[in-house]
Amino acid sequence: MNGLIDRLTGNSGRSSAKTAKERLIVVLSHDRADIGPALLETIKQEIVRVISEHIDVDPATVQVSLFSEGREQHLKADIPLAAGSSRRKRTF
Amino acid sequence: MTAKVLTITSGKGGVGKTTATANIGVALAALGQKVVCIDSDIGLRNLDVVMGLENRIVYDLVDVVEGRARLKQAMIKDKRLPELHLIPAAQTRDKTAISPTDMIRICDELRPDTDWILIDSPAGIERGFRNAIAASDTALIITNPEVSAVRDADRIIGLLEAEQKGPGKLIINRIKPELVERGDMLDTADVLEILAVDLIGLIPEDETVLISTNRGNPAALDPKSKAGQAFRDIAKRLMGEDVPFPPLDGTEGLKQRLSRLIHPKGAS
Repeated sequence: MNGLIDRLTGNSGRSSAKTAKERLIVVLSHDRADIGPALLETIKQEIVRVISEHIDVDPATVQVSLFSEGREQHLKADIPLAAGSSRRKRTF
Repeated sequence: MTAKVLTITSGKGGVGKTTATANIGVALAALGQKVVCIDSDIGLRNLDVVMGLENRIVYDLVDVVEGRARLKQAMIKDKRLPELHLIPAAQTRDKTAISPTDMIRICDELRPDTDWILIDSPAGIERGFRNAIAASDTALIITNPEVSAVRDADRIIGLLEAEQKGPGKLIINRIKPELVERGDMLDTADVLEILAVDLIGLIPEDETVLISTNRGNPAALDPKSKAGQAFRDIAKRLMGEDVPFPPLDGTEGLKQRLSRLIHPKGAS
């Protein structure tokens, strides 16, 4: 059925325009902010280091990214907290 | 009258700056507006051939800047549309032959008795681009629905904003509706969402542009040309008219598509 709908609506496989749009959104957020993937990685490591002084975080799950709202740029950090009550480190 | 200065720019080369300048100039002049088109692409002169005025050049922009000619002497009057004029670029010099201050001075001299000054910008973001936007009131950013042209348009919009010349208005050129429809070309909504700038024109890919350029008769002079119509629509929008954008991209609904499948050669 999906195949039929795709043929009727002209979508054969993944649309290359969709890929183009997604790639452009990423590259333009880096262009506009003049922040490359290497700098984002550095920022991520620094954030992990600072947060880890207080709470347990798994560096592999932390995501630091750029996104746009209109022509305004945002830096977004998503830091999932480790499950369980032991996540808070003892400070004394 | 006090002219509005429009700079047609893109960053990337080959997206249609010169074609757009010639056609919007023609379309505005056909509406009775007094128009001066300036080719600011020093060293890569082309607006003259696209407008079909290459055989009438005596003086150019650099001659005016360097005092060998008065502004009026360098203005070529179009014989088809008496309100249309061209100031050609110099072909044997480079972008450093003129400065942003020169462009401001020339436009200020033209403003009192002109309705529209259209400046055809060179590709790139260096001196030539700076010259082209120096006197600009509004930038018309032209792009194609493909990644490199959209990326460069975004860069240009950023530079215009930094120069307090932004954000400008967008023209999407060379749209192929059949590619958009099957999901292989960015559609208008995609490009507008990415660039977040106002739209002023949608130009379909149209072989009449190539043919009319071959002859030196801009497509906007051809009442049957689809691209020509799209340029005439831009001129009307510039004049403040609310002209709807024709559906060029993937808006052929399922119903029309089914109808086309059922009646392949019939009118749907």
